[in-house]
Parts: sequence; structure tokens; C-alpha cells
Amino acid sequence: MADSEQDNTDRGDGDNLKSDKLFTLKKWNAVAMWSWDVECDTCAICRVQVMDACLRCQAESKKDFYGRQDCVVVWGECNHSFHYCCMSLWVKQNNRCPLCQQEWSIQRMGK
Amino acid sequence: MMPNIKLQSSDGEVFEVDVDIAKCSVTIKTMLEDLGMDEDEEEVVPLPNVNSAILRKVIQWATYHKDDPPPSEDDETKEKRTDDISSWDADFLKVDQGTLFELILAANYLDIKGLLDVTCKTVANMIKGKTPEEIRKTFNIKNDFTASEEEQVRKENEWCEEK
Amino acid sequence: MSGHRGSGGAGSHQGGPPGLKQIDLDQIWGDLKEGIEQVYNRQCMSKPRYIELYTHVYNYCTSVHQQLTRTSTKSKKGQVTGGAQLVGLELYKRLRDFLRNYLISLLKHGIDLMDEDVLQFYTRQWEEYQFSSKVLNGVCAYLNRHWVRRECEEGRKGIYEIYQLALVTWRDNLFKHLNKQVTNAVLKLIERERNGETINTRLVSGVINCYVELGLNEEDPGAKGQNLTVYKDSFENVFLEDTERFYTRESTEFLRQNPVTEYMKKAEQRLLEEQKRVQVYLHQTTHERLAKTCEKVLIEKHLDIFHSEFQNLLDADKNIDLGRMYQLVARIPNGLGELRNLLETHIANQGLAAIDKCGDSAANDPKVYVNTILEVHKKYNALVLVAFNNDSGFVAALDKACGRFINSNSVTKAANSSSKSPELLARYCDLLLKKSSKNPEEAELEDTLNQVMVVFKYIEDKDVFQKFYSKMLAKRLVQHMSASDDAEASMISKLKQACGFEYTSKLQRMFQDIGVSKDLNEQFRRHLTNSAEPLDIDFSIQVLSSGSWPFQQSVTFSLPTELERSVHRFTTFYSSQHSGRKLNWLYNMSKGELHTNCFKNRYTLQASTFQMAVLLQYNGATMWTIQQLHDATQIKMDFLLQVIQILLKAKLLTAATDDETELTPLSTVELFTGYKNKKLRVNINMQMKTELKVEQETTHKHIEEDRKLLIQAAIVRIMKMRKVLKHQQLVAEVLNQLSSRFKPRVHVIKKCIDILIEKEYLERTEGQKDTYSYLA
Repeated sequence: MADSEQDNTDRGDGDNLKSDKLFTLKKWNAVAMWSWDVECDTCAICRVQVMDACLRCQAESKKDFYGRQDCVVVWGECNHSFHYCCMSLWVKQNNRCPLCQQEWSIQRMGK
Repeated sequence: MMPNIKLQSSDGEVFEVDVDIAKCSVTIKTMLEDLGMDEDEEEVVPLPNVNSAILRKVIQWATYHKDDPPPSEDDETKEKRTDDISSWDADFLKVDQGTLFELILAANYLDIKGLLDVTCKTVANMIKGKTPEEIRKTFNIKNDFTASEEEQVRKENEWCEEK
Repeated sequence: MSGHRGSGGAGSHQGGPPGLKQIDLDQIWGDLKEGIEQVYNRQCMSKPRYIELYTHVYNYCTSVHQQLTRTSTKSKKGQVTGGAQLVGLELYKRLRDFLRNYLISLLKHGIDLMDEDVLQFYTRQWEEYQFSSKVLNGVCAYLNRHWVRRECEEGRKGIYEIYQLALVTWRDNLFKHLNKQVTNAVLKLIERERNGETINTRLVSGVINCYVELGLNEEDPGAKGQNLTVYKDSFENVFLEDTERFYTRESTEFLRQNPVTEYMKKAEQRLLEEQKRVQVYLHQTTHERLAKTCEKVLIEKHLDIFHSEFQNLLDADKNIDLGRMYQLVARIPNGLGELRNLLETHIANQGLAAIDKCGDSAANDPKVYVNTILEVHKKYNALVLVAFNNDSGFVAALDKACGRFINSNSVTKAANSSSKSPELLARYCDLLLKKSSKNPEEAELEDTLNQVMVVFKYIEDKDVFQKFYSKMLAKRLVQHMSASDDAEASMISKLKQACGFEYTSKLQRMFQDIGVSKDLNEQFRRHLTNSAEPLDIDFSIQVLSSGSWPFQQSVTFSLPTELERSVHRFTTFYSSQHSGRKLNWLYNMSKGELHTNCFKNRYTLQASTFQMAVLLQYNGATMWTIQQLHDATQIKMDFLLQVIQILLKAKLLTAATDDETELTPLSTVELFTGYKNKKLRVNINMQMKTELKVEQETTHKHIEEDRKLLIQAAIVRIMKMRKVLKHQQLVAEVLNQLSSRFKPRVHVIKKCIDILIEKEYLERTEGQKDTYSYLA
């Protein structure tokens, strides 16, 4: 209680400018959810959601409790997206997008 | 200290021997087991079939061999060889034929397997490679076969003669 | 080589070395026989005499007998038998005759003896005979070594080493005639010992030693190891028959007169005694057959009685007796199956009853529910461990039983779903892991979490547990309500160990997201400090990975302008940190603080984002219709109504209607400027839809109130009839009258009596303790 009163006097100057307002916003604890900005949320190569690590990475991270899965998403010029891990294996065999058969070239990488 | 035992030869000489050495003789060993060891230690054990010269030799042999491992069961079935006499035993048995035979008898009487083996091997070596005639000469044996008997024996044994 | 007759002939023809003499048997037999008699008369023998006798045998056996030479010369090559002719048959025959005669005359002294006398005679004679025969064997060592050995090697039957000859002769001339009465006497002696008498066990062991020694292998005298045919045929078989008869009678008799628990002690003791019996005076090979025989008559024949007693013992928690029964029945092959089944049913019933007994509290209080289960488990786990030796079959019975009553019991039936158990277990975890004034010490918490895992093991719907667990974990994490990061991590790792990586991967991800968010806030704060324009509010954020959190995606909402700048600044910042990501703001999960300038005091309100959005509207005007608020905030109507209801309840707003449930889009809601609170910092961010729970509680309260009235009515009826009554009797009659409707609790009855005294229906009788009188 004492603290909040203290707060008020401390910030007196700023508040006075808006003192006509009945309610002033002091603090906001927001919650947000991030996801990859993709058209299709499943990786067509491994059939796992792109939000989850690909199968290969999942198997590896099983050993590690906190092992952050750095299994990012990659977008091609065709705008199709896949797990980067999955795609880099795919292009070794076939340098085309598995969905549209366009020649694969990376537009951007997830981070 | 090991207790001793007194052994008396046929001609009256008394030998005081370590019991462990005397036990090379199965005969003495069995006797001690049967009668118990704690009896009168002064009691002299007479050995009416062994004279002092031979008994001395026997004790000498047994003393030298007291730490030999006891003969095992396998030795019974193993093929016997005659060329494995130790140099000590060979020296020990450089004796006249009469003594050698008496040692054999004593080893048999006292049941000392090791001594019996080595003495018999020595005799076997004396026979090896000799013709019947040479053997007869070596051991002073009279030929009591008739001519036809001898022929018969030769025929029977032809198969094993070296060609 | 050996076929040459020369070796035999050498000495004779040459007159040979001394020692090879020709000696007739008669020359030595007289003295030898005298010596042997000395041996068998147990007279002391000197070493010289022993050697003398040995030498007699030696001299005879090594003497050369003319008539025996030249017998093998004509045999065919390779088939020559023997070699040297060995002498011994005549001596052997005389020794055999000597022994036979000795025993025939000995038998005369024993043939008429019975019982202990015959045992005394037999064992003493045997002992002496055996000793003497060993000496004789030594004296005849030369005969054994050469003549007997050669005979045996050539396959001659009926020729034995001299000691063996002595045994065979004993067997044929003494044992054969005496063994029936000897064996009988032994059995009688054993029976007397079983009946509690002290016996001379040396008599028994003497006979047994003899029987064992007599077991010769006639086909192959040189064969190693004992042949126990004499012992088995003449003793063991009859002994076992006798034993079976004895214990059949005893056990039936004992059980008729004593409780089973006493019988088990008796049986245990008998089994031990018989085991010792073998050790003390029988042959070790009898152990197994004797044990089998005793187990059959002492245990197996009475298994039915054991089974019905087992249930009684379980009911009475007689753990020591249960352990004893286990040890006994475990001796019977496949004997434990029925006990395991009984145990399983019993534990399941105990579990059901324990949960039943908790009544409603088990369904509503996860702690009570889980602890009730754990108590049952702990009790029977200890029983299985100690009394049942942690026998895998009994462990399995415990597990099956726990699985049964945990997944289906009165609580799950009332909820009409077996998923009630996992739900309650998850709620219990939440209680343990959520920040509260009652959080236990770290070590104690760890211990309790391990206990949770014991119950978890038995839960069938583990996916239901996971759902509840993850929901509650998410709430704890986002609201910063976790009591301890270590405890959270520990629990997740336990679950991972139990169910694998998949089961906990989302829980782990949630845990990680919180850590990542912490760093992110740090970076954003630094970014703001470095920029020219700081934000005018205290902003923080948690960015969660979608797909891992059990949260609804966003609802429609029009962000207040006051918040837009924060969202915009952060979104820009986030894009600079990451690429390819989009953010979805969960306004329903977000919250904040407002300062008020419109009341008497300056308050800090902790509020949800929706509450903030509504209150901020009042910066523009102090009165709005609900429809107007909806248009401004875009919050869904039913949702908005709940938000407003809470604000009304908090007395920040007022509505024309008193009844909050009658609010419509057209209702007007006005700022209540007279708002007052004792605290300057007020949390108005109440959980929505808590009303349901409150309502549930009130129904419970109603039931309790109704019951109190029923109890009071019953008391009045009883006292009207009895006028004066002692407290205990009154309580008993109330319980009796109401038992058909419900089971009143005694303390409630007491409370009701007090109410009635206050209302002057009853009074305490003066001078008499605990007695009530009825006031008309």
C-alpha cells in the first residue's frame, strides 16, 4: 500500500498532464503466441507440424531435457515452407519444391 | 619339529627317520593310520624283509623325494616312459645288479611307488635293444627253452620284430 | 612284452635274490590267524606285531609256487592274461571263512534282542567290526594290491578288497538277519523323539552310518561314491511311510483342537525339526524327500483351511501370521495362486471402502482423495514387502488391485467417469506446485511428488492426467504462480521417465518458453532504453510457442489506443529479432494495472485486459449502455456481460438493475464515483465463472442445514417419549432412527442438542452428569 502511494507521488508530474483522465494505464503484462508465418502448418516432407521439430530433431533432442529444438522453417521463392532440416536433405536428391516442382531457391529462413 | 620313527633293519640296525619321510612308504603310513600315532614313540618298527644297506638307500631316496607331489590317479593311466629318470635318480641307481633287485623288492614290500617305478624303469632300460641272448647274458639267465619251443616263440613274435 | 614268461621264471631258475622264498599258507596262517583274532578282539596291537602280520601276508603272496608256472605260454598272442602268477586265493578264502565264522557266532548274541537293546548291540558291534576290518585291510594291503586287484581287473565276481569283503560278509551274515528289528527300533526311537522325549541319537546315527557304509556297488567295487541302496531300501522308504502316517494323524488332531494360527506355528516347528533330524542323524540325501513328505501332509492336505483363514488374517491385519502362512504355502508347488487372488480382491475392497468412507470429500479434495489411495497402497505394499517377501506374484496382485480401485470407485462412479481419478491427481499436483502459504519444504515436496507417481502408475487414462496437468502447469507458468522451478522440472522429469519423451515434450516446451520470454523482456527493455522514445507504460510480455500451450486462440477484441503503441513497438522489435514468425496476442490471458483518478483515493487496480478496456471507456463518458461498450471494445457479448458483472460486484460500476443476471445490451452502466476500498491496491481480476462452484457449495450447505433440522426433530420425538435420557442412549437412538435416511455425524447431533437446550426444549438434569430432561 505504502509503495503504491509512493509511486503516485513519484510520477506526479507525468500524471498531472493527463489528470483529467479518470483511468490511466500503468502496466501491462501481455501474453502472445508466436507461430511460423506459413500457409500450411504441416511440413510436407516429414508430415510433422512446422511448429514442432522435425522427426529427426525430435529423436535427437530426446536425450536432452531442455534441448531447445532449433529446427527452423525455410521458405522457398515459391512461398512453400518446410522444416529447414527436411528441405536440406531433400534438395540433395531433387532440387525442386516437393509441392510445386519449381526449382528450389530459398526466399528466407525462419529465426 | 616333526616326530621321528625308529625303523629296524633285518640285521638289527635302527634308523631314526622323520615320520613324514617314513610315510613315503604306504605300508608304514597305513600302519600309523590304523594303529594311531600317539602310541609309544620309542617303539621300534622292525622291517624283517629289508637289510640295513638297502634300508639306508631307501631312506636316502625317500629323504630326497619327500617333497614330491603324491602320485595322482592320472599317472596310472598315462603311458609309461623309461627315459624320464631324473639325473639324481640315475646317479642314485648306479649300483650293482644285486642291489638294484633288492631295492625293487624293498620298494614293493614297503609300497613306495616312486621308488618301484624308477628301479623298474632302470631294469627295463637294461633290457631295451638287446637280443634274447644278450639279455640272458646280462641277467645271467639259463636258456630253458628247447629248440622247437624257441622256434615257436620266434614265430609267435615275428609280427613285432623290426624289419 | 608282458607275455614273456621270463619275469615270472627269473627268480626261480636263478635262485634269485633273498626274499623270494617258497612259503606254504600253513606256515604263516597259524600266527596270522592269531593276530587277526587279536584285532577282532580289540586287543591292543603293537607296531612290530602289525608289521609282522603284514610281512606274513607279503611273504606268502610273493612266494613262488611251482605248480603255477608255465600256464600261459600256450595262449595266443595279444590275449595273454596276467603275466606274473599271483598268489592269494587260498589266503583270501581263509580270511573270508574267518569273517563269516566270526559274524555267525556274533549273530547269536543279537538275534533275540529288541528295541534299544538291539540298537546298543548292533551299533557297538558295528563300530568295533568296522574298526577292526580297517586294520585287517591294512595288514592285508599286499593281498589287496596285487592279487585282489588282478582278480578284479580280470573281471572276477565276488572278490573284494579285504575291507569290502568284511562289509559284504557283515551284510550277508548279520545285517540280513537283524535289519528288520534294527530298523524298527530306530523308527520307534524317532517316534519317541517326535513325541518330545530325549533319545540317544548316537544309536540312530550309528545304524544309519552302517547302512550307508554297506551300500556297495557289487557290479563295480572300485566305483567311486556311495551307493545308497541298503540305506534307501532298508531304512529311508519305511521311515518316510512312518513319517507320513505320524503327521497325518497329528495334524488332523491338532487342527481339530486349535486355531489355524497355532497350527501354522506347529507346522513350522515340525518342518524345522525334521530338517534338523536329517542334519543330526540321517543321511543328507533324505532331506529333500522328507521335506516333501512333511510338506504334503502338514500343508498341502490342509490348503483349504489355510485359504479360508487367509481372509480372516487379512481382515484382522495379522501380518506375522500372514507371513507365516506365506512361508508355509510357498513350499507347495503352485500353492500360492489362491492366496494371491484373495489378496488382490481384499486390497481392491479395502481401497474401495477407504474411498467410500471419505464420502464427498474425496471427490472435492484432491489431497484427501490421493492420500486415501496412498494410505491403502502403503499399508499393503508394506505387507507384501515384509510378510510376502516381495514375491513377484504378490506384487502383481497388489498392482492389479490398486489399478482396479483407483480407476473405478465411488468417486469415479459418482462422476460417471474413470477420468475423475486422473483429474483429481492432477489437481493434487497443482496444489503442491502452486505458490501458497502451505508449500512444503523442498525435500518433503520431492517425497510427496514421488508418492504422486506411485498413484500415477496405476492411472489408466494417463492422457486425461496429461490434459489437466498441462492446463494447470500453463496457468502456473503464465501467472508466475509456480512455487519452485526445480520442483516443476523434477515432476516433468518423473513423468518423462514414466511415460517417455512424447508425453512430456509439450510440458518441456512450455517450461522453455518461460525462460526464453525472460530473456526477451530483458532485451526489449534495453532496446527501449536505448531508443529515443520509451514507452509510457510498464510493459512486459510472454511469448509462447503455439501448439504447445493449452490456450484458446485469440478472441475478437478491439485494442484500446493506450495499448496500441506497446503492441506496435514490441511487434517491430520482435520482427527484428526473428524472421518468418507471426504473433498472436492472447488478450484474454493478458493483464495489467490501472491508476484511478476519479475516486476519493488513488487506487491501483489489477485488472484483466478486458476489464481495462471497459474501464478506459469511462475516460470518455461516465455512463454507457452495454451495447455501446460492446461496439467500442468488440468483446463478445456474453463475455462482456461476465466482465461487467465482476466490475459491478467490485462496485466500480453501477447498473440500474440490482439483479446482475438481468443485464441486457440496453442496460446502462455508470461509473460509481463513490468507490471505496480499504486497500489502495485492489485485484479485481477475479476468475470468471466461479459462481458455479459457489453454488455447489451452497447446495452442500443446504443439505447440511436440512439434516440438522431432521436431527432436531428426531431428538424432540425421542425425548417427548422418554422424558429423561442419558447422552449416550440419546445419540444411539437418534442414529438408529435416522439410519434409513443418512448417517448423521455425532458432533452434529451434539450441536443439535445444544441448539435445543438453547431453545428450551431440553435441559441438563441437575446433579446428574450427561443426562437430559424434556421440557414440556
